[in-house]
Amino acid sequence: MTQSVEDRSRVPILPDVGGTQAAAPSTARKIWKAISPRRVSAIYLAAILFAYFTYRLPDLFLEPRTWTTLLSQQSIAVIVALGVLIPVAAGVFDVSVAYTMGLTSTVMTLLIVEHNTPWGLAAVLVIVIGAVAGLVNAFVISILKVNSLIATLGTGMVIAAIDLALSSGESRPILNTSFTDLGTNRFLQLTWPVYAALAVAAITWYLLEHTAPGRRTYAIGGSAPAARLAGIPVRRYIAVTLMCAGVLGAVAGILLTARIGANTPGVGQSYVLPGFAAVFLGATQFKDGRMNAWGTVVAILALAVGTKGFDLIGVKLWIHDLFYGVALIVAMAMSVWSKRSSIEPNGLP
Amino acid sequence: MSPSSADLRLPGQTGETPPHESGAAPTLSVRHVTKTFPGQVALNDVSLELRAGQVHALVGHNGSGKSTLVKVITGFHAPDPGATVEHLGEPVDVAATAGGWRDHVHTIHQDLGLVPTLSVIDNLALVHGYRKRPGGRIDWRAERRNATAILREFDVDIDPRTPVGELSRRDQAVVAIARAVSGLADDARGVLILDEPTATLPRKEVHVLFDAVRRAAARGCAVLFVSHRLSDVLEIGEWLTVLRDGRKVAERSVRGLTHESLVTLIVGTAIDRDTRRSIGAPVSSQAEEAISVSHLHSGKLRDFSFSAHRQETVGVAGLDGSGREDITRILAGLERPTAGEIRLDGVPVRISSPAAALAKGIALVPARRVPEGLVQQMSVSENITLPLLRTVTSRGRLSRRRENRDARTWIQRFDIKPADPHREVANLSGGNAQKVVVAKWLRTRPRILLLEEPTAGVDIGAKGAIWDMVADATRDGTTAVVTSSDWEELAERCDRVVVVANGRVQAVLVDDGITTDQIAHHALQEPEAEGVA
Repeated sequence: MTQSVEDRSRVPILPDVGGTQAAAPSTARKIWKAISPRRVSAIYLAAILFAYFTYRLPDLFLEPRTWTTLLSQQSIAVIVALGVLIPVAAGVFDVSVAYTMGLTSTVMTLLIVEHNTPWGLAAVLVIVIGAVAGLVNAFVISILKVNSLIATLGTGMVIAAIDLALSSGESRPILNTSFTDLGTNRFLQLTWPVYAALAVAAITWYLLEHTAPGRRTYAIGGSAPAARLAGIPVRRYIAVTLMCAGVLGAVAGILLTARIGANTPGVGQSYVLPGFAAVFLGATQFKDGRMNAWGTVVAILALAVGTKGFDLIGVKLWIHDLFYGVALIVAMAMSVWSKRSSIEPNGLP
Repeated sequence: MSPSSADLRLPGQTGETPPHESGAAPTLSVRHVTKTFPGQVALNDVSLELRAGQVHALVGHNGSGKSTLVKVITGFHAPDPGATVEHLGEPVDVAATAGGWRDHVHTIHQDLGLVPTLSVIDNLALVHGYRKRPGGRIDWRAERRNATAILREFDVDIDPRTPVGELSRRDQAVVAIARAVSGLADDARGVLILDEPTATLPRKEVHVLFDAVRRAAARGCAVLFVSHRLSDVLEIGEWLTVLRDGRKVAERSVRGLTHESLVTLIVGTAIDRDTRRSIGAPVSSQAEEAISVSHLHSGKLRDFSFSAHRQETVGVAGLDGSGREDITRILAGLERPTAGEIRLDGVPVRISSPAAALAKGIALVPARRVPEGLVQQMSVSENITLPLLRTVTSRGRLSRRRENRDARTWIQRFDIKPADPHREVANLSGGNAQKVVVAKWLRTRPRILLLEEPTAGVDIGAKGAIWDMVADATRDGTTAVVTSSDWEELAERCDRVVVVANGRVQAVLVDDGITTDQIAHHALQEPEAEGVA
């Protein structure tokens, strides 16, 4: 982001513990406050679902393999959701992130399979594609002044069309194992994409919560006119958040391709709703109505426990959509309910 | 539509008969209205009679109680106990918010209350409902015929299918009036209230509006015309009530009044026109001026010049639409002037954006706390630090601890309550929220602090505190430029007051010359009066 480290003073980094110096509440109260169902309802939801499915499917559900696989799958969804999160923090919806993931997956595959591009170079190229997609979104939203939801719905469709045109709707397997190992090799039981998702979440969390640009991003999401008067270059910030979203879409695309070992035409679609559901459900976690990185991660996992359980029980496929749809509405209702509806897209300059 | 009232007059005729001497009961009679707000008596035993067919003008300067009285009549405020209201001689419930007599009272505000994207037909139907055919289908043909007929009555020939937003400002006003009047079940029982209807209307189009008002009166409506524009009052008004400091100070026929005598009624004392002071700063002192603006033109401003020294508090007074609002917007980088020059410490500058303004040390406390002043969902400390995060950041990391320490000093310094930096500003009272806005800008140590209506919607206790904050800043070397429609407070707190009317500086008041009467006198200048004095 743009205005980050303009002042490198000599003061060492201070340990920061949420920072209140007010009359310290008792430790027990503090702990209760931190883990109360109001603050981390998704963790409780996950626990309830977990207990239920453990009861229904004791063998299958407690199998470690189930969990490592689930985490590998969900790591991609986490990265997409974090891509959704960053612009939403600035009050801008980006529906196109998941489609960018689909496109970059196809481009990645074609570069490696048809052009024998080294996968490292291919990865850099598709990350540039992701950033460009973000810039295009910024242009449509800030210059053409189209409502962000509509704008990215449109660009998302365009991106999906390009994806389909390039792949002709075919899935091409990648035989380059040095690349596919990236998606499937394990370290301490978990695949690399899981660590990648954790790293992305940590970086996103740090940038949004602990840097000046992050604070300014939230300020824009809270009130663009107030942010503008505070001297924040609102349009530039929005452009940067959209570019971050595009880049994260590309990162997700790279990891997805590596994990599956092929491109999957039309894969983006199924990541759109979970991404948004997680961001808004996540907004009700930890931070009292402000969307945040760890809330988003926890929400993805809670939703995944649910869908995985239903899968294993053997219900029909449509239960996924039903589950995410209901979760999105419940999440939105909960954030409105806690009277902090910072989720409306606000008027952009 | 039958003009049953004895008091009906035709357009153009002025009423000589004092209301209390005419035969029929007044359409609406409000008596002994007192309205107290905490720490302030807005209305003190005011009575008003509105008669069928008569245009009754209500005048008085800012804070005189005009708008409070209108809000009592329209049911927005409940008056203190003791007030009575009679509709056609029948006592009615003052507190009723809808139904009964309230259905006969129609108000047109400055913003007209039309939906610009809907057609004239739809806008009319918002109030009257649609004519339906069997089966519930809207009878568009009948609607169109009806709308055309209504508009014709007001001499406007437009296709009623046109979206209102595409009409001229004048035609919009006519649609609003036509809608209000045709909505009256029975004109002779109806009351039409026009609240500053001409403030945003181009001068030459005012007459069409007046014709519409006269037509409404001719149909038997009682009209209450609230306006700052004295020439409008003299032209359309027949009977006149003058409020000053919440009291009725005069009630009389408009006939025989001149602009001068009307100003005297409003401000209470006769003011010599020659008290106008020279305007424009002497060239020699320009170097010491913290800010000077010369020959500024914008949407509303015409050749506007003023200057302010370090440590000075300069007020800018003027009616809504006078151009008062443009000055702070331009200096804060939110709007561009079409011509003119701005100098800071004698150096010409271009202020292209709020960020540029901030970089030059210009901060704006905006009139609208939401959304411009504060980020509602953020905490007090987050709002206070937002314009200047550098000092609480080290190596790119934002220190919550330093941020809260910083916020705490400002909270203590200005006694912001509750004294909790983590509190969301959405939960603060108006006065405390405004203190947060001022504190966040003072923290940036601005050279120029612009304040728009700094105490609007703020309780009386916080008003003083906010002005003290401004005084605090000017002692430290800041220059404060304050626009306000609270003239009393400008008179009390400013070193100088620039009075704007019709986009031009009418007077610069200093020292003992700053009184609400002087401000009123110059602010009420009519465009015609320009250059005469």
